[in-house]
Amino acid sequence: MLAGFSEQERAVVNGFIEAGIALSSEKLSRLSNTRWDIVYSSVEELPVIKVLSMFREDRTQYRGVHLRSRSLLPLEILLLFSEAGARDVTEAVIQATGGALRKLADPQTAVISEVGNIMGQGVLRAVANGLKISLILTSPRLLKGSKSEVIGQSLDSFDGSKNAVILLRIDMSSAKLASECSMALVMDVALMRRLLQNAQLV
Amino acid sequence: MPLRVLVVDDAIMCRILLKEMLESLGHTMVAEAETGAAAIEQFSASKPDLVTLDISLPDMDGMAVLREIRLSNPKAKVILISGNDQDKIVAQARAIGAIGLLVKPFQREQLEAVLKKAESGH
Repeated sequence: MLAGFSEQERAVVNGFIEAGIALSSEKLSRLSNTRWDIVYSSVEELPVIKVLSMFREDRTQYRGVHLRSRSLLPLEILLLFSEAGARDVTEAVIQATGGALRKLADPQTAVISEVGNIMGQGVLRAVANGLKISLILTSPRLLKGSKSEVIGQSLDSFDGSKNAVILLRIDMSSAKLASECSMALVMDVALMRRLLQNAQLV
Repeated sequence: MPLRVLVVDDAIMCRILLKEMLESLGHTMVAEAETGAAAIEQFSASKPDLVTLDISLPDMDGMAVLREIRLSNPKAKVILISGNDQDKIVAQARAIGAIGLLVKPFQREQLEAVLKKAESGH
């Protein structure tokens, strides 16, 4: 049995995330000079093993940007871009910033890492402000592989036997770029509940 | 007056774009650093008029770097340039002595406004 959220707790967390995703997509739109639409699936509480098995069949290759917070609320943020999506977003950002980034040896790694970092900060802001705490992320780590491989690498610090992680899946798409970007946010349910209580939100 | 700026950011994309924007505004990037330790070292070595400082760095967070810089020179001018503009972070940065915060992604005009504020000493 999962020790999940109450309806009230879930509503508060969903509120944080919706605000954060709106900010992240607005940041991505400004960076790439194109509009991004959001499809947001609400909070799910899942065991780590289940999270990994959800994507096992999908062998498509992705570029992942992994960000981690190790302060009051241990938190993993993962952004996934398809290979084509990563190429398109990189090109859009290079054009939007006047072409100076073309001189880099590996513009895609540099651009995708920073785009992921800026977008991750949007969600983090909403969670931190909502809980009345501060959270600082590590530098972005770039990952490559299938969805389950990339997610597995980003969840390496979670105990697979614990059945209390939150998974949020957000898909963003741009008609202009024919690209997609997904974001997953993983954190410990029990810890989140305590922080919600400390902030007197439930 | 042209400013000599130390740019601290772990992302090469940001350092390149900031250098270009600073030069287009008549300022100079005198040094750059991608870690907190390198930032503290470069601050002593290059004696910049201004530091632009990211909060997420690989070895230590930007708030600790800000504290070190202000400790070694209480008059040091530091602007935070970060995607992290959480309420508590902003309040803490101001309390330690940061003179401004620019939220990523930003436009050249926003950088110009923050630099003017720094030049005028506020």
